[in-house]
Amino acid sequence: MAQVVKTYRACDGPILRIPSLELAARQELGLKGKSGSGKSTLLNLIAGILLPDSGSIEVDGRDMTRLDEAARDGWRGRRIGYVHQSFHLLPSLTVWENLWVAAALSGQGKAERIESFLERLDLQDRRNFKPSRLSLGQQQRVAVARALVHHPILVLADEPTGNLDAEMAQTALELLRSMCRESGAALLLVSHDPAILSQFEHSHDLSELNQACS
Amino acid sequence: MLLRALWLVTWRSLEQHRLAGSITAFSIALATSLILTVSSLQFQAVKVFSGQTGGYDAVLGARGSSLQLVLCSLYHLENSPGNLSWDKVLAIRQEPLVSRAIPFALGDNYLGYRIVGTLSEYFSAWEPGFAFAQGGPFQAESQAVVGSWVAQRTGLRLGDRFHPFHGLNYDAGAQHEESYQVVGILEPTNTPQDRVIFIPLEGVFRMSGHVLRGQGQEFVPRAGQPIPEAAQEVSGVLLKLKSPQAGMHLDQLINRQGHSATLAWPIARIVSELFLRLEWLVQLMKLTTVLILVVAAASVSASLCNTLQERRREFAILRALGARRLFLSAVIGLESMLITLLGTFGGFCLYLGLMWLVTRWLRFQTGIQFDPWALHPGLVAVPAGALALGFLSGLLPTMLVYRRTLAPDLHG
Repeated sequence: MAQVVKTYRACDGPILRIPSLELAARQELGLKGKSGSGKSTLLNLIAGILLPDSGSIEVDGRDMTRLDEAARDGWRGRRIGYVHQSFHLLPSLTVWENLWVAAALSGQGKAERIESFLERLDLQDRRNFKPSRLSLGQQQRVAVARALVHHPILVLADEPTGNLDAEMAQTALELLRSMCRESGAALLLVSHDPAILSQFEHSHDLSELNQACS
Repeated sequence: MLLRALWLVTWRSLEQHRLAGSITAFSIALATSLILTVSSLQFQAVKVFSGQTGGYDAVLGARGSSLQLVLCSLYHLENSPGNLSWDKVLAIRQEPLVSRAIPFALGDNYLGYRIVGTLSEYFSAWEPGFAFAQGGPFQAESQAVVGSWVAQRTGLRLGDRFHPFHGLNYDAGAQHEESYQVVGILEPTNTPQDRVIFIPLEGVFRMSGHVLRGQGQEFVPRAGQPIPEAAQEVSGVLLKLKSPQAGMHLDQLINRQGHSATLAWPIARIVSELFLRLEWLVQLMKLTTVLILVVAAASVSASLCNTLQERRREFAILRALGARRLFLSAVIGLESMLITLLGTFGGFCLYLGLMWLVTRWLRFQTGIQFDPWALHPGLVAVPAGALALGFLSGLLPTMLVYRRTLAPDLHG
């Protein structure tokens, strides 16, 4: 990511101004960010959901800012996994269907991989449950599985443990990191929790990276 | 795979909003069934009325309304406009342009079912012909042939005797002294003929209380005493003409130059006039039902627009997973089409049920048999129109989804 500037129409100045940010393949990077620091905007820019006003964002050698919306959607579906603070599982779909739809939108909907994920995450007996019938920990595991079911090269995690207690948060973090390692995906995790970020070998403070805040 | 995902997301969404979806689909079903029923009855009514003329081309009757004459003679509805003296019957029977002339006399009933006095030729002359389930035509003045519906409803059987009542409407205090014996029961014809009791003309003439005024002077028939032809009178004469030109000639002679009789000719045109008179009512009914359909379609649109608000996050998640705007629009469009399809299918089932009830009621009221399964243009036009409206009703929410941005919904 180089010389990226993002401004919202409602704001006076840019919300993000990041001169440079790099993440190597399979690398894990923690980003510290307070609420309103622009962390979600940053992740949305990397995912191609938002476009910067200027600058470039390359993922796997492809500049997201040069792709049209449909191409960015397709690219995101195939190469990026997303874990949200509120898990954002589709409420009308079962566990299995949540995973299958994510895989299908990336053009892969192989049942074997979904089955292996359910087995790995001990969710086999919950496969036909709707998210509302799952515990928070189970929802978290499904969200992790969904982010990785389509072999992404990059997983973006936006406060993935924000809704969990300390013990569950630690378990969830370990699961997310181990799954990313197994899948060979890089992980960019944004959190405000120092206990979470302290476990990362590489981490930055978004308020230092973001010159719009300084 | 994408199509399967589209189907899955849409179907699950419908399941989640099944109450709202069902109510909307039901309103479409209601509107569709009403339009189909009105279309079917209108389409069949013209065919049924035009096709049940018994092979006759015209009806000769007293001076009055042609439509009234046709309705009372062939469909056994309405009163006769008046009586026709026997000399006119004789004159028309001798007319070289007429190949068949069958007189009939009305004015009595049995438990509300009309009694028609006529000649025994009536049964053999009627096209496509009457079949007797039991017995045969009457031979004597105190005999009767009963239509299938009358036999079924009144329980009259072969050999039974009954006393008629005076007037076309049943009045228990107006019973005639004479009794008539059932000598024939007709097979069902699914026409108004099933709701009639036939007796010989002379049987009508000789019923107690009847006063004949064939040529102006009153004559009361007495038992054993012949009735002079000059005193006889009938309600009308069914006519089979030798050619269409004969109809024009008789029309000129009777309707334009004459002043004492009416020739209802051609029957098909007179029947179509009836439908023209009722056209405004049919159009009003159709307009009402179309409005119901439009309101139902608008409710599909409103219902989907309402759910968009609560589904903002769901759509944002899908977009984060890589779904394109087109995919989300397709979800809404497909949902709208499925609700309409469900409503239309429900409407078709409701229509069959409604037709079953309406046809039974019409059969009971008029003797006319409508077919609940009859094919008519509405069967194609109405579902096609409903689906087109369903498609249109999905456009607004589809466009709203297409235009909606992703990030604020996901994080807002």
